[in-house]
Amino acid sequence: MVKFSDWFDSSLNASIHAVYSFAFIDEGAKREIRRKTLKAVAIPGYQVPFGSRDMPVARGWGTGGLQLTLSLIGTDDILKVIDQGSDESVNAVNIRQFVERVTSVQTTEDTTRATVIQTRHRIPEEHLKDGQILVFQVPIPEPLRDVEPSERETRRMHAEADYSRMWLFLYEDIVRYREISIGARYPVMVNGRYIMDPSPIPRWDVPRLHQADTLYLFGAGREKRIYAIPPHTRVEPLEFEDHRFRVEDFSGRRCTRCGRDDTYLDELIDDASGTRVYTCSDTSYCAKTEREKAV
Amino acid sequence: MQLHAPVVPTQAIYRQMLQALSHPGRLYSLDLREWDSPLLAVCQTLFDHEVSYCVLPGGNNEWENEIFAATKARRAPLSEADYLIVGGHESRGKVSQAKVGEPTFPDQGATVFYVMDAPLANNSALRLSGPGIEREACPAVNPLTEAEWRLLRDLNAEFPLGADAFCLIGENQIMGLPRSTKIRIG
Repeated sequence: MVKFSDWFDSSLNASIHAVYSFAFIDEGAKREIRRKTLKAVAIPGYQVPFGSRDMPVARGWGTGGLQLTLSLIGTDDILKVIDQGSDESVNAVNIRQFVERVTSVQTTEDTTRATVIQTRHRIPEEHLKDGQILVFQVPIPEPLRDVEPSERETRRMHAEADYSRMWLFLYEDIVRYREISIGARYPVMVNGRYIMDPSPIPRWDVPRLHQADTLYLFGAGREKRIYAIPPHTRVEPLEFEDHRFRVEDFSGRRCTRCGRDDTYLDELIDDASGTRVYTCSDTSYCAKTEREKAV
Repeated sequence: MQLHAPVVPTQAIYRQMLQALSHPGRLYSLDLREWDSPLLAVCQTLFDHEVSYCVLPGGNNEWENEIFAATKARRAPLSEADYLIVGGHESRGKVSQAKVGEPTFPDQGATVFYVMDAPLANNSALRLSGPGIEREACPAVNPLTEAEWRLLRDLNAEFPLGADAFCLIGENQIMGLPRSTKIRIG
């Protein structure tokens, strides 16, 4: 362990170099997060409260996911961080550089090489394997919050599996719009027991939570909650027999960069001409497809 | 200049515990470079003054003091402890008194560590299913007596209430048995 005397390096130009714990957060905090994460895995879909720590980014910017990543990561890991599918957006770059700085781990943009992937609002397009861990940043972990503002009451509803108000909410949505209008944050039933918020991933990604090979961990720093979906777990989007869940429809559209027509697409509108073009949301997969085509 | 301290070896232990609990019935190996026993490794990974533990009769007499010296966790009666430590393949019914949590906070259920030198003979009638298991599977080895399997099955019958278990087998192997695992015998 680091001694206090090692924290200050006064012999080198009188400059002060702080020495952080490995992965920034102290070992006591890691132990608590690890204990809670194990309970989350044992009770799929249940939100385990934890003592969310202050991080050097503001709450609401991925601190829950970041704390999970920091409690997991070791020197053998290869880290990938994405934000809305992109490795290059500000949130992803900042978090990746921060974790790199406090752990010296390798980083990658290649989904297949990564052992730990932290994500904001997407699941990478490429198949995630057994042994990989996907960490989600979660803004609002409580799926019942839209129908019940009280935390005590939502906790009771989960305890009793009393989800009638959620079903009524979905039914009223159908009456109003002729289908369930929820886009991102589509509620799912985990292991036939808990309704869970899958974080603001698009509907496109929801079926990939079901019977996956990989472990999914969810961290909500502001709301102080950790939850999990272990591999090979039943995850079903809420739906009615006569109003089935469906994913976004991109039929007839393809990525203007790589040409793929089987990925989740971002719509870009040219302000001047008003024309719409589509590109893959998963930028590293798009670039990989382009490279493979070029060969 | 490197701004951080070296990684603490409990990180590698935790990762194997996490994989073991995510894949019930599979065997994983712990990297025990820093420890003489897998029990102290998992205790130092998870325990501190915020949690309590109870070594059940039949375990090694020195475990209680060794764990306290290594972690400063609190000793507690069986029915109140966050972690139970069982020496061998069964608790002779004692684990049925473990905390199972409240309906609103099922995560307060206990975690049980079974510590054994070697597994028992395979029980071909045993089947596990549930989260972490593709369809249905036999555990890689059989760490518990049939009575203890039945006890865990009954303890976790009111899921999400229940207790989670880890079996520490031999020098460095670990198997996870979360409460979500359905146990079928015969």
